[in-house]
This record gives sequence, structure tokens and C-alpha cells, in this order.
Amino acid sequence: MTDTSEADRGNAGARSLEMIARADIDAWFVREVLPLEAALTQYFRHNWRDAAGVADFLQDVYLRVYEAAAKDFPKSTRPFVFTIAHNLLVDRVRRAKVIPLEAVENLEALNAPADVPGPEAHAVARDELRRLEAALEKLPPRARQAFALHHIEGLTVREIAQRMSIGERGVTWHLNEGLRALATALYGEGEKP
Amino acid sequence: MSDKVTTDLERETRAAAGPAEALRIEAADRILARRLSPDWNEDDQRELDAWLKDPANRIAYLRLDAAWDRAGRLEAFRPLKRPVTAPAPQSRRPLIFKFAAAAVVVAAIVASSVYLSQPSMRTYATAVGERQTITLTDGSTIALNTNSVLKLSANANARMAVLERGEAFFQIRHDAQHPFIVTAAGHRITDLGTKFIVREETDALKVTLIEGRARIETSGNAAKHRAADLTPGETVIASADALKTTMRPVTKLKNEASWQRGVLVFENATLADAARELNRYNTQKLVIADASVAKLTFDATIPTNGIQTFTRVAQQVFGLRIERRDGEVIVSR
Repeated sequence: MTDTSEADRGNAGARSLEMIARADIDAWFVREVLPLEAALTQYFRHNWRDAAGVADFLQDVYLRVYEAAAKDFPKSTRPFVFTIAHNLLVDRVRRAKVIPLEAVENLEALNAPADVPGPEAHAVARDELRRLEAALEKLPPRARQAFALHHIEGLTVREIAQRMSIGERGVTWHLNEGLRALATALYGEGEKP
Repeated sequence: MSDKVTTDLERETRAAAGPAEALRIEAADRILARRLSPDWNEDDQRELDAWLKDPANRIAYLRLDAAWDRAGRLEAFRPLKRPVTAPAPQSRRPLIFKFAAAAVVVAAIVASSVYLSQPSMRTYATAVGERQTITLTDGSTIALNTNSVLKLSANANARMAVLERGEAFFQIRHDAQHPFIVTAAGHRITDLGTKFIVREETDALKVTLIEGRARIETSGNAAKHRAADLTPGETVIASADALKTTMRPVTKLKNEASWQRGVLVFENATLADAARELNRYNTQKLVIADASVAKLTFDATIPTNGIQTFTRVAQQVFGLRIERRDGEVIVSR
């Protein structure tokens, strides 16, 4: 199990409604795994020609990482994640009935690209704002408008609907679109271009 | 664009999405419902919790939810309203603010020369169960928790705050020329570029550093004037003349600030502690009737207004009795 020394102290009578470990794994996942998304995306694009499948690939990697971490918490995140990503890609290549020509440059050469910078240990607030602003710029226009009206102006869905002259459902959809695009811009496209 | 066009676009996007993208759309739907529905209730929360038990759902949700959290910082771009020209609506202000405002007026009349020489302070107050986020012109934010009073210097160059009551989460943009200083219960906290929580307790002040660096100094007239530099993960309990420091893993700190998401995270907490904590946020008060009940421990994530969630845990998990009378909820064997 994970580090439960603190939770175990005097814990004989504790009854768990939620696994304690899960909150820790969630926090670790957000803090240490998600910042690797840019490197994982690059790794996938580099080794697999059909770049369209990147979302599915990331989901597979994250799921395996999360489940493996729940059983045995890794000491070092980056090698742990990339070992899983590597194995997954090798599996995919082997399973593919018809391997697209040049699908994989060389199975043996599957490696984490060495030139991808590691996650910044510390995001300075100013950098974070600049990064968010850049990510916001990349959103589709309607999604960007809805997002800015909510997160910058602090408007509710109803107020945004009035401002944009669309229905509330439309606003929710634009926010949905915006959130997915923002996550990809923040995590998948790298901290620096 | 008409709503129909939006709906058509939406339908097409949903239909064309691959499995991972479809899951992202669903997770985003749920995040938006959780965060933006005005009538989000405990049944909705339970349904969401059940959905999140599946790790595939959970990671898709965590990823987008973290992005939404980060987007929350965009608030820093919101122009700060000038106190004089655009006062907040009076109706939303609790009574305490009116008293504070009245006191300022009285002080100004009685001793205007003294008053004018002080940097002018603006008062922010939250009622029980209320939260408020204050954004400063430099992008710093202060989240004020339930039942709290904070005074803030209105002068942009003098970065000063006084926490008079309650709890606040500070995310301060560092400026070496103008350090941000928080005073509370006679202690002084100087930020060196930080995120930290200050909470006033019955006879002590609790300061938790999440990120960056900060220094705390006990009140100057105490017998032993002391100071401590905090590193992330550290909590300092400052009483009149002593500083006690404890260290916890940074992952645990998330729970300290969970009230900003409207929930309280209890890990190995006694029912007495959890009840005390929930009572800060609710006018209806939980009363634990006997000592053996008070000592029971549990883990749970409970909405700040979740008196009902608490009583359900007490009944279903511990088989306790719940009795309601005179605005109190009494928990006993």
C-alpha cells in the first residue's frame, strides 16, 4: 500500500467511506502525471503515424498509470509513466493486423524523446497567467468568449446566454468545448512551444 | 448564431468523437453540472461519486477538472472595482460590515486627523456558510472562508491585510519592493511569494504554507518575540508567546484548502472534530451528545453545507441516533 503511516496512527476504529489512498493518488496524478502530457503526446506522434489517436492513447496510458499506482505507488513518476507508455505502444504495434508502413520507425527504438523538457517543478504565478492567456487564445471563438465571460467577468451561465444571445444549453456546450480544448492546450501542447 | 446551429454542431461533435474524446465530453458535462448548476444537490453528488468509482471515468474527470481549476486564475484579469465608485450591493453584506462601516465613520468624525494618517482600509466580511474571493490589481487573490472579516489596504503600494476573524487563503504575487503583510491575532505574516492559509482559532492562530516562502512573527510585546520561516507543507500554530511547527506531506494540504471547492475532506477525523468544523459553515449546529460518540473516527468528503450528509454517515455507518430540536442536530447512541 501507499504511505499510510499518518492515517494509521490511532486508526483502529476508523471506518473508511472513501479509500484514503485515492485522494493521494488523485493529487499525485494531477500534480505529477498530467504535466507529462506534452511529452507523452510528442512521444506518441513521433512513434505512431496515425496522430488522430492521441486522445485514446493518453487515456490508455493514464488508466494504466492510475491503476498501477493504486497497487504500488511509484518512487519516481517520469520513468514509471514512460515505461507504461512504451509497453502500450509496443502492444499496439504487435496487435495491429496491418502495420501501416512506417507506422513505427523502429520498434526497438521506441524511447522517450530525450529533448523533451521535464515538467517545471514550480510554475510561477505570472508564467501561469501568461500560459492560460495563450491557451485561451487557442480556443474556438465562441468557446473562448463563453470561457472569458465566465472565468474573467464572473458571469453565470444565464448571464452569458443573454450576453451571447444564445440558449443556456448552447453556453454549456461552448464551455464544454472550451474546457476540453483548454486542457489540451495546457497539458498536451507543452509548457513552451 | 441560433441555438439550433449550436445544437447541430454539438450533436455532430458528439457523434464523431472517438472513445476517449466521448469520455472527455461526458466528464466535461459532469464538471460543468457540478460547478455551475444552481441546484446541485446531494443526490447529484452521490450519482457523480458512483460514476467516479470507475478509474477510466475518474482520470478523464481529474484531468479536465484540474484544467478548470487553473482557468479559475484567469479571474486575475478582471479589473478590480474601485471601492468608492462601485460599492458591492449592500443587501449581500452581512450586518457586521454595516457595523464596521459605521465604526469607520464615527472614528473619522471623532479623530479625523488620526484616521487620515492611517492607510485607508476596506472591509470584507462573509456570513456563516458564505465564501468570497477578492482579486487584487496585481493578480493576487484572497479567498475568504465562512464567517470571516478581513480588512485590506486600499492603497495599491501598501500591501496589507488584517484578518480580524475566521480564515483566508492567500495567493500572493511576489513583489520584493512591496512585501505583502498579513496581521492576525497580533501576529504578523510576511509573504515572500506564496500561497498560504491563515485561520484564527479560539486561542491561537494557524498558518499553513502551501507554496513558496513566508515568515511569521509573534506579537512584539510578548515576553519572547519569535519568528519562523515556513517551508511548503508546514503549519505553524502561534499562540501569545510560542510558535509550534508541524510538517505534513504536501498532498495532505489540498484538504486544508478544500473549502474553496465547497467541500470538507476528513481523514481519520473524530466525529467531534468533523462536527466542530461543519458548525463553522452552518447556522444549524451539530451537537455530539456523549463522549464515546465524539471519539469515533471516519473518512469522508462532505459539502460545507452537508449537515445531512453528516447525519446520514452517523446513522448508516455508526448506527447512531439523530434528533432535531431548536436549530440543533443532536447525535447520540
